[in-house]
Amino acid sequence: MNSIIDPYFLMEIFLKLLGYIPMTLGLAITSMVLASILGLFMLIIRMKKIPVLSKLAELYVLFGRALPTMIILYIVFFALPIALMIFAEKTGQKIEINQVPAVVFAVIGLTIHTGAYLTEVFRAAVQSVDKGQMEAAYSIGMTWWQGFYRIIFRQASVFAMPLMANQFLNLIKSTSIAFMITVMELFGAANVICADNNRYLEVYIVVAFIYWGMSVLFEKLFLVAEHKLAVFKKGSNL
Amino acid sequence: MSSYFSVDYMIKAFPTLLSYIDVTIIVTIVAELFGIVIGCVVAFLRIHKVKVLNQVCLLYLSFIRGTPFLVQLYLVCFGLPQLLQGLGYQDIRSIPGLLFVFLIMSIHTGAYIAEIMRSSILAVDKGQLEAAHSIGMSTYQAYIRIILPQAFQLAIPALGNNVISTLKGTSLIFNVGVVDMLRKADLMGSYSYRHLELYVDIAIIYVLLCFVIQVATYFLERRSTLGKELAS
Repeated sequence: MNSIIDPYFLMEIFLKLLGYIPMTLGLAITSMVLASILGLFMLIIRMKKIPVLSKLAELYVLFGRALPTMIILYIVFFALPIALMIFAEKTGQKIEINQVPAVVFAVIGLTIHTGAYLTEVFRAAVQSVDKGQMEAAYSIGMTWWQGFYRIIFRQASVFAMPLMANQFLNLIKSTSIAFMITVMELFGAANVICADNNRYLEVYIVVAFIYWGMSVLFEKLFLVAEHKLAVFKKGSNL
Repeated sequence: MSSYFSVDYMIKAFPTLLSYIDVTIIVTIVAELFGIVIGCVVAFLRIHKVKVLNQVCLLYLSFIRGTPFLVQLYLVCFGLPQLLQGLGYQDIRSIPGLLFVFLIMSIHTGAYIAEIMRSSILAVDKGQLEAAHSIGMSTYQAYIRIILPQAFQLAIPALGNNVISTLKGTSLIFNVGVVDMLRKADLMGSYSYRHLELYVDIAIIYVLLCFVIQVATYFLERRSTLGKELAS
């Protein structure tokens, strides 16, 4: 090693790692979509105060937020195959557990983690909408669902947008942990390159800059989106 | 069922894993202490818009908040020794690995605390600084004696959240060779082939720790608001 950092080598790794960005973003976007659905479910359960389920939802939010992503991923990674095995034994079906790709576990783990945070985000958003809105919806004969979907949901989503954007940025960063359960995303690929040539410094600098670039890019995008959405905000003058 | 998930083993392994909790707690405390120092300095530099340093701080905040903690951890724990070696410092092995962990955890936490402290310092009435100046205090004295104590009071809930996220961050340090609960679970699991029970144990420990911090924050907050009420 003649110089500490070799620029050609940096460029080479950079080009190699660019190919793994779709994987990282794919993980993040899939988990985000699933987590939004999960969060919405939990929100409705908690809003409608369904007896047992509502307590379970509360417990889920508590654990989802208290546990580190690393541990959620590990538990999913080790528990799900066991659950599948038990299921296979009970029903007599044959399931090839080894053929389930690690990405599936990663998506499930990240969804559980993000879902808990999104539930809280949605709850705050719904609380930000005036209570009278729902009462007004009832008074003109809407059902709860109609009132929720047509009136509350749309107003709350404007409030929830920046918080969700924030959560998505966190999620992009969390995907790096998925490499611990053998998913080949950006950081996993970087570690493989490291194992090849033992040049940690360059590789990790490149990875850090790619993540940084992604974060800054998405932050700017979300700011633009927020600006566009600000039209719908309460009290904005058109 | 017991062949898949053994509650006995889970209970038996719990004390062993619990005995490794000290690493997690020490790392959290050290990171939090140095983080508060870094955070206060950065917040000060940003509020007073000190030339050049303000831009450096912005870059620092953007970098730390824009990259995953895991990447930062690897960069410092594997990249930094290589850099030191390249610069001619050959005695890398004598530096304990935990030192690098302390370093990056503090830097990482500092960036997040800087934002917390900035908003808390800005929330303290501006007249306080002016009053301190008027009775002849220097800016440094005013910050130490007047502004920061009030700012910390306002920052308690946010700092509590930050301690929790730092604690959660410590679950990643086993990747760089620190023997903590997760590494121990890894080792024990490779003997017993019962990873799940061990990770459930660790999950319980983390939830308990989070709970303790939450309760502590609540009492601190209540005490500080009580003091305010008595004073007024």
